[in-house]
Amino acid sequence: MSIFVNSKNYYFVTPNNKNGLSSSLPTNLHKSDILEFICELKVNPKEMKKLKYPGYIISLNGKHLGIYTGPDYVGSSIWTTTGEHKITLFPGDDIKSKILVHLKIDVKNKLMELTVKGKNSKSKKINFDGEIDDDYQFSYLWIGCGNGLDKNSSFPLIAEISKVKIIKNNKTIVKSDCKRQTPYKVFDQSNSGNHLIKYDKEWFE
Amino acid sequence: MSKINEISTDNPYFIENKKKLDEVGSGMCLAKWTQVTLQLQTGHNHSCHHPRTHKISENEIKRNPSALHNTQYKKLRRREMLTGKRPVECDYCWNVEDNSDRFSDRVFKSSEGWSEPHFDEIVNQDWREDFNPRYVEVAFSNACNFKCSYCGPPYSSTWMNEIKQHGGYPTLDNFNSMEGMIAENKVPILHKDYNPYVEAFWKWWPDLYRDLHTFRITGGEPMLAKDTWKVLDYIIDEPNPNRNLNFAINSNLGLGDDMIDKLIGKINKIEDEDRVNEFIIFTSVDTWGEQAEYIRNGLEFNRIWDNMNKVLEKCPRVNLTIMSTYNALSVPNYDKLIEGVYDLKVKYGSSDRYWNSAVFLDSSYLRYPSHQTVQILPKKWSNNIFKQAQLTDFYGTPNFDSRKYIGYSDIEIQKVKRIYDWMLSSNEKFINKGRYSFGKFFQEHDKRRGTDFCKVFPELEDFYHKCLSIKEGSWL
Repeated sequence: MSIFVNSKNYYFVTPNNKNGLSSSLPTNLHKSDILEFICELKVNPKEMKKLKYPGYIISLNGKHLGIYTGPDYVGSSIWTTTGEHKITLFPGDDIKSKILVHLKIDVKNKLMELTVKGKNSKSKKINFDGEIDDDYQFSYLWIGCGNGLDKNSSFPLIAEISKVKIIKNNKTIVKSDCKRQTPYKVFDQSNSGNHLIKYDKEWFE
Repeated sequence: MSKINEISTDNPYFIENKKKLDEVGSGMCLAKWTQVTLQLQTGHNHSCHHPRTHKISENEIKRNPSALHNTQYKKLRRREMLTGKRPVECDYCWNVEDNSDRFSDRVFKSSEGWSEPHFDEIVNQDWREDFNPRYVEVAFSNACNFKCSYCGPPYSSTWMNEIKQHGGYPTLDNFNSMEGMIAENKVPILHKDYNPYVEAFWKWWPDLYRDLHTFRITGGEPMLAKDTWKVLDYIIDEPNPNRNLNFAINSNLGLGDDMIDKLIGKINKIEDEDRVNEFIIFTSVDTWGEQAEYIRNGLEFNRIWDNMNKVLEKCPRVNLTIMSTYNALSVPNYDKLIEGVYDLKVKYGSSDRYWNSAVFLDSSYLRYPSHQTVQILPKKWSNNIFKQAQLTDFYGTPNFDSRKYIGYSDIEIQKVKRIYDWMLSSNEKFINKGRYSFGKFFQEHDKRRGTDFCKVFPELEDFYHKCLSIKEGSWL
């Protein structure tokens, strides 16, 4: 089982602990020493081609921090005090099949590494300078878009997602094979209680 | 008054009501007039749930059947409230008010729809006057086919029979001994015997019924009390029914098909003719399968689950609330109950019902007997409770009130989380005493009832043996 994301269906992990049930909240991710976003997905390149912008696979909204994809490329982006730092990979035909995208940001050592695994693997590592922007204190963690709360920066993804994992300082705080779902949530198997929540404006009312 | 400033961020409705109450007196609470629980099998009542019950005078009810609620004892407490005093029996609320900035239940209960509209009438009448309560819970008898491990003879005739035969349990407090019941004047009147309190109830009922906002029949098992059926027939036959009535029955649903079918027939008649505002069945189960059967002796899990399905299927408007008394034995498998109840919510949720969500899981932690509370378990078990709360949250909905959503509400989620918080607040000093009694209770339970704790709860086998190895007095 998997989740289908598009301009109407996308997910988030809440940064607040409404019922006190998250044992590791995804807050201040940008302040962690090491941050990893991992996602297994099958992009719909045909539909992505129709979009003006790439779609975010996993994102912290603000000056979006995360991983994204277009019809024929996969990228990652972070913003620091010196500007935007990006990696772009072209997986070739692999983009048409299931791929595993892995972003690792070593904040302490100022290294960013993006890997795309399909039939072939591609990987690139860059150094960045400056400090990561302190723009994410109240950010939501989005899966399938860049920001579900703002149409102008939503950057939807059209894809089928089958695995999601977020790792903060070597601790998995979100993990899902997307098999266990309700109409409103996807189960978090990391025991952190950070279930993926399907966006609905009523969550915010 | 000083507290009002401190809690000014709270709901203005409660702030205003607290101010009104405090202007009458710092101990004023409308629930002393508007709410009552009547235990007719023992002739006890209390207003509200927090104070201990007190005995109703047989002489008073002979003259005035409303003295089932308006007892001389209670009128003296009302006088205290109206003259600026705090009745000692209401210490539950005084503890909250004196030790936190939070509102106590006297504010919440006085703000309810069954209380607040009667404020002027209550404060302007003499303390000696009678007042018809609007929220009434009544138990007609202790007749019950179950003997749940945490219950006792005042509420269960099968418990009564066991205690008469074998005496109290060898726990530190001699759990459920006759001596305790006699000391509290709580020996129940047998349901086949004449009961002056039930007689007084029926004299009062036609007058009471008109004024009721909420009426809930408890027990014992109410379906085994003929008076329950009499109430249902009264509502069905009344030419001018109280259509604003919120009506509820507590039933263990461990009943045969004939009785369930009879109940469904009555409910359908009441539903079809809109004779009440809402009809809710409260039932109880504390975990899943065989372990649930062990906790609530007499329960056949598949039967009650089938009966829940049957009621929900045949009564398209009725709601079911599962009152779960979360205790030490609930911990290993409560997640299965959470899943099972969610399935019922999905299957039967409908906007045709009085409430959209067909089923509500009300998880409350057991406080007494202390030897069966979650607090006596090793701390590692708190992880299970936390995960169960996370699971309930997984099945949560964005908006419980909305017609399109089915799942757990924030209240249901928070009530499971509260059990975890409460477990962690345990006082180490009392744990060994509780564990000692836990071992003694269930050892005797197995002996008397032919059960096998270790077979049913393999997860707790080591813990059970450790409890049995505790020597009396070793905690001194």
